[in-house]
Amino acid sequence: MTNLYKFIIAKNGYAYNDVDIRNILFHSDYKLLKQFSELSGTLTFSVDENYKELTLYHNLGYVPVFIPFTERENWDGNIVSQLLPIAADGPTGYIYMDAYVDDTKIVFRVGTSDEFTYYYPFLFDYTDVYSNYDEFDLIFGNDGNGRDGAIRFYNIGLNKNESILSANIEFWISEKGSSNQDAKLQCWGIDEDDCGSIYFNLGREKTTARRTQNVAAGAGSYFGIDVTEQVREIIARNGWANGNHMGFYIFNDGSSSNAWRKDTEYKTYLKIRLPGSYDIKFKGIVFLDKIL
Amino acid sequence: MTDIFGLKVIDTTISPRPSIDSTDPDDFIFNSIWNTVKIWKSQLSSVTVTSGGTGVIEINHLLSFIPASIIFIETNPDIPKRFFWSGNDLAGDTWQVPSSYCDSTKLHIEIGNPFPTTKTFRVFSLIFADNGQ
Repeated sequence: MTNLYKFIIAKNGYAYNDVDIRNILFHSDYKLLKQFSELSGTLTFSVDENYKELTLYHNLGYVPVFIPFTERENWDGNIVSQLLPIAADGPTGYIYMDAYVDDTKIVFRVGTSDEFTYYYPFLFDYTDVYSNYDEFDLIFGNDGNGRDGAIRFYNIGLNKNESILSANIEFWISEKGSSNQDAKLQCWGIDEDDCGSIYFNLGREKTTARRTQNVAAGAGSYFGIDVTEQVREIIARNGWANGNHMGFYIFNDGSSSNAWRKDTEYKTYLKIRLPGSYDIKFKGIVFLDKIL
Repeated sequence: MTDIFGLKVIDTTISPRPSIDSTDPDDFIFNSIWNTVKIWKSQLSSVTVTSGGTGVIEINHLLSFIPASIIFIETNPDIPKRFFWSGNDLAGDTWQVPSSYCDSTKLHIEIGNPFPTTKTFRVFSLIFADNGQ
């Protein structure tokens, strides 16, 4: 015969046989989680990164109970610690995080919007696009005559002289000319503090920075125009301020006849990539108890 | 008059060994000054869910209060990974979206099946004998 004993510790002021289990501090009928270790690590996100995993090894040889946390900088700059999984605000978008365990490791997963790439869509208005072909189409090249276009983007979120990694006009080709020859362009920034309407105005001051480019891409695709130096030059102006508008000229540069590209769908946008990084810290408390 | 007794178990792996009078909780394996998280019920469950459907698991706990709980879910039965789930209901394109809650009688878990075929999902749950609200 086996004698069975129980070990019970009640809260101060309560009997060992209190019927409310919440008043029992310890009861040998009920297991406690047994802590094995605390694992921690950091993921660093920078431009062009929107998914990463962090693997931390427990090497128990079975699948253990664990509790995952993250410690990170919230959108308002405060350090917060949260139980996973979470869907949270990041500096410029959303962050999704979760964690899983198998018999050797914990893996933390993070999916996030790229916090360092900014997109400025072409908000079509008659003051924001102009060409000498049709006032409302963005075109460059040669359709028998040289065609020059201009485009303006709103509310550029760059400070004066802010460091940038790159800036590109991602030009959407909705139509092209019949020629198999490349269309040739030259591109400047419009050298103004806060670019005003470009309607019927292709003769404004240009940036010193100029980009020339041959374009082979066809209809239904994007191609990029590197305007990094043009953007740097504009935001270096004394009168530049965060939130100002920015315009660009995209002119013909000696294209052969019927070599032209046009965006009549207004899908062209400006893409600016910034330097910098941020860290997300993770912690996993691993218990010796098994997940069945 | 109530006699008050206590039990303290020092963590002997700490060097130098902490005093029994320490006030740092990390110095103790057990200290009856503080409550402990007691596992009331642990259970492995499964639910078979058709493509695009939602499966429900309900675990009765017979506690008269809303307890704390955590669950671990295989979000893809073909890959044996156990995701920690705390009851959050996330929205995401390719992220599995289980959700769970406890009330005073049961732990309720819902699992959507985003896969093109019927799947059986396994869930391991821990219900604690302590308040979860």
